[in-house]
Amino acid sequence: MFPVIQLGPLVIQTPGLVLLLGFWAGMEFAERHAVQRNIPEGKAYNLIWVSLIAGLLGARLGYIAQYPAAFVSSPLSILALSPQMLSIPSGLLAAFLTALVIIQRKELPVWPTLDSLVSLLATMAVALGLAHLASGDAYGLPTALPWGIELWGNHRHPTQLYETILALLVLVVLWPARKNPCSEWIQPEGTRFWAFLALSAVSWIIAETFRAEGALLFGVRQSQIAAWLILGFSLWGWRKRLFSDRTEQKSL
Amino acid sequence: MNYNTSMLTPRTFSALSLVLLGLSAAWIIFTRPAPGALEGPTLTLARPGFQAPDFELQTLTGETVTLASLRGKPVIINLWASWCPPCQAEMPAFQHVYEDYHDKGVVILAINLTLQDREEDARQFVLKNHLSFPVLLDSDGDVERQYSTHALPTTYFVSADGIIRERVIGGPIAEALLRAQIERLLHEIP
Repeated sequence: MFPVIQLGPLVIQTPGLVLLLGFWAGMEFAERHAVQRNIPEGKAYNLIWVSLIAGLLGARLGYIAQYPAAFVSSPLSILALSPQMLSIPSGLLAAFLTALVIIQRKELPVWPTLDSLVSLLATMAVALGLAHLASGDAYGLPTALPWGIELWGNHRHPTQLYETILALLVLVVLWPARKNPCSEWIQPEGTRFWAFLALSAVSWIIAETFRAEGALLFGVRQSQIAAWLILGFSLWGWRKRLFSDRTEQKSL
Repeated sequence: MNYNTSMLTPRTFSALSLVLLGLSAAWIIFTRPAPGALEGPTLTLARPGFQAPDFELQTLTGETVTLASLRGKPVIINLWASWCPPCQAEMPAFQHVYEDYHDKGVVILAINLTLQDREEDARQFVLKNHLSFPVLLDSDGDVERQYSTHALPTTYFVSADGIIRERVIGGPIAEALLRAQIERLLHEIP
């Protein structure tokens, strides 16, 4: 585990650096794949950047709304570069709503745009696994298996590696290559997006099995129940998009 | 646009989807954790979600402080050295917060990593900045090792039941973050 890299007086948080690199690479992939889907050059970049900025602002505002008294006595802290002062749910909501508004106002094709954004999301999933590996977060249950790793006083499942490998598999399976054997399943507009959700949900169900932490509901992990519901919803959406052409042809 | 989906019909997709949903439901149920298998915050480790390692140190005024004796109170542990510019920059924020929350039972422990510093420099720094919270001396580097200090300053927020809730590596820490974390720790006390 390498939580920080120290360069003289400069302390770089490795997980943050990994996520930043993942974001940069994912954005490049998304832009390239957007152009392949006939989305004008630069539109995907703009969408991602503006949504990111809106997400960060939303996350900070969400945190301020959570602890308003803390900012009354030190209002300048609003501008502090502290990742701890971000509310993730508020940030995700703000980024999602901003992306929706941009897609509508710029008249971007919804499904091809979402399909292109999968390249960013899938790359970020890989980066998140690596970030967990660097920080030691999302650690596994104790195990006697030979590939277990020594972590936090125990021989444990390398859940961060499982997470990274599964995310890499999702990225490879959904990579928009001509010779991809799965291309038939992810070619129609919108199917790549739904397939990403479905495969990520399956990955989540598998990786969560080995994690040491978590909350239970009726004896099973809450996170797996949520992932299972997402899986059902995304399979429904995938089927709808996959056969939408046939439905249209029938109705004609 | 037409795609060759001849191998794949809506019916086969639905059937495969149901199989996948069934298999994943079975996986979730049959691999569910055994009672008590999931780890609570019982391990002692200097990272969020774990019990904060205990220590016994002397203050600049010669009193002995142990972390265990502060159980029941939210504790903020700040690891610092007098030569470290971000440590110097954030100390006034700790003092402001201490003045506001001391009466509510919040404890601030500024642990000077004395192996990397000089006791006299630490003392001068405290006098110059009028710091009134306890400043502890980690003279033999025990806390530095226990808390695997990668960078200075590092701040830990420890709940009343001794669990590390947050760790901030580097600085200077924002005063609002200090206040927000303290509010969170106070809110957790039943």
